[in-house]
Amino acid sequence: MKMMLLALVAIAGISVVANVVLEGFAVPAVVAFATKATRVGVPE
Amino acid sequence: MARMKFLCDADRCIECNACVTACKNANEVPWGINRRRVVTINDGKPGERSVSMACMHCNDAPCAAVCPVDCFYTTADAVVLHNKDLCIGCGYCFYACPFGAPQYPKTTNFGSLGKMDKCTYCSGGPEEADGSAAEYAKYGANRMAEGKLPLCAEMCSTKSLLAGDGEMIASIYAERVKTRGYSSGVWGWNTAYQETINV
Amino acid sequence: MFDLSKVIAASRTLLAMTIIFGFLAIVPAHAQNPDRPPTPVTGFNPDKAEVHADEFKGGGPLVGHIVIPDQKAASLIQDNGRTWRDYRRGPLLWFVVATVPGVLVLLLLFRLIRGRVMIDGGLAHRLITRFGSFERFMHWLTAFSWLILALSGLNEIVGRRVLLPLVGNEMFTTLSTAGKYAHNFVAFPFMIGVVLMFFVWVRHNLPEMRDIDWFAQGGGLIGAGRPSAGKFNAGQKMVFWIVVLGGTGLSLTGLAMLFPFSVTDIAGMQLISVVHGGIALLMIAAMLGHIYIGTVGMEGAVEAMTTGDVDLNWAREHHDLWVEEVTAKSHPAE
Repeated sequence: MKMMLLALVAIAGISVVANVVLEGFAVPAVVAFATKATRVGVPE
Repeated sequence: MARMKFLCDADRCIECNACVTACKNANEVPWGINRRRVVTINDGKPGERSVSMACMHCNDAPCAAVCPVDCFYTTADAVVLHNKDLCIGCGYCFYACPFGAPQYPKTTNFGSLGKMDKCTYCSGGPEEADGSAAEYAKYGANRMAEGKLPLCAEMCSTKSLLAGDGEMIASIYAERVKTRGYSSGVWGWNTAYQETINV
Repeated sequence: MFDLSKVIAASRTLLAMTIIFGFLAIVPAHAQNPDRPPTPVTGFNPDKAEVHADEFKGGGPLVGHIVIPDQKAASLIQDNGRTWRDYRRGPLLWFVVATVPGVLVLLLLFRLIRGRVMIDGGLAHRLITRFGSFERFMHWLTAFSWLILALSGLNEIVGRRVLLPLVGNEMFTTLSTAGKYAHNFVAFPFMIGVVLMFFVWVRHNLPEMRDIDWFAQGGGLIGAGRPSAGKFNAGQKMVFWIVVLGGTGLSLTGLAMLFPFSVTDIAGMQLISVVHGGIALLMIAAMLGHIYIGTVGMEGAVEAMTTGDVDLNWAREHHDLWVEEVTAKSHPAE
């Protein structure tokens, strides 16, 4: 029984860490796209 | 009741992006979100065509069909809208949309895409008060409530982008094709409305 | 001799003919459509074929040139999205019916026909340690994670039809938002659990000849056979590999979906979502069977994972070779 409870605690803890880390990857569209602006008429 | 549609006459579009600018201005669309955009096919080659594309407000809208929380609804004018309060930002509507209309304020992380935003046919959203400040902040302009057509079509410099009752704009287009004698096809019309225009 | 006058006459004739034929070339066009302007200077009026309008009807994206930085916007039309939509509101729903209520019905029938699997000799009331603390911890880490993932995942597929009508839009959005975050974050303890399970248990789950016998004798579940088995019988080995291989497949597709468009384009994302859902539903079917037989389906089974100590008679009946190994180790003299 103890191991079951410990597992639930571990799930919660790892999830919180995952949350914090994942948020770091979320980039606002303004930042994601503004820095890669293409110039009109310049062929790729 | 009028069945509202968009039609972009690719043989007239000159890629001036006035429609894009008008939409961004009227709806205060944040940088990085592209409700409307102009795509140029065969750029620089013979047969180059530009098409202004935003949400086409399809029959049997794929976005509405795949939404896990059923946040889409269709107005009496057949405009396809969604409720940002119910949207969970899962991104499925973007996978389903043939035209890439749904936009998200954040990128890269599935969990934090943010509330989906797209062309509303300048019809605002489901807030009770049409034209209220709350509605404007969330969804942008509500010109339809004032009896006006979307600003993109109104601002089109060559009148290539047509908005209005589907039958009416289809007949305008058919008349043009008859006059000039050729047509490169109405991009997206068949995909969105499952019909063709007899030209 | 070079005759200039003949050359001039010929040139005039040539010029006149050019003008006449040139005029004739234009006139028929006017005759067809009097309103149509004359052929433009380039002499080139592109039509639908010129712009390859029909090419994109194959379903793949029609891509052009754009002036905004988001390259996804360069796709003008992609028809695959509607195919994906048709799958999600058609075949996928039947898939869910087959794997969830379908399997539950099969298990119910199995219970009614076969009954609960009892220990032949009754309980020995003597215990033998089957799983240590760490084994139980990692099993529950994976199992509870999986349960949360399965429920939140099912909500993404069918929640709109099953739960939404019961709780209304606002509550459903709240639940689905929580479900979406749960699905994203609990994926990580799940992945850790699967990796742990693999390294700790793989040596007990390698296929052996006795596994064929185990299946042939109905695994002790169907028929009166009591086939031999080691720490894990052939059925459990199947569950192990389903979890490890299925779990890996789900992890890879899931990670690709956590970071959309980082490894593939929209067609790839649609395919990944279909594969992820398919593996997930098959795993749900398998786990429903595993959960049934490990809990209510068999007398003496559940203690293995709750306390870790199982009844000796149960162990001798279902894992005789393992009992021999373990007792030989602890009582080498016997």
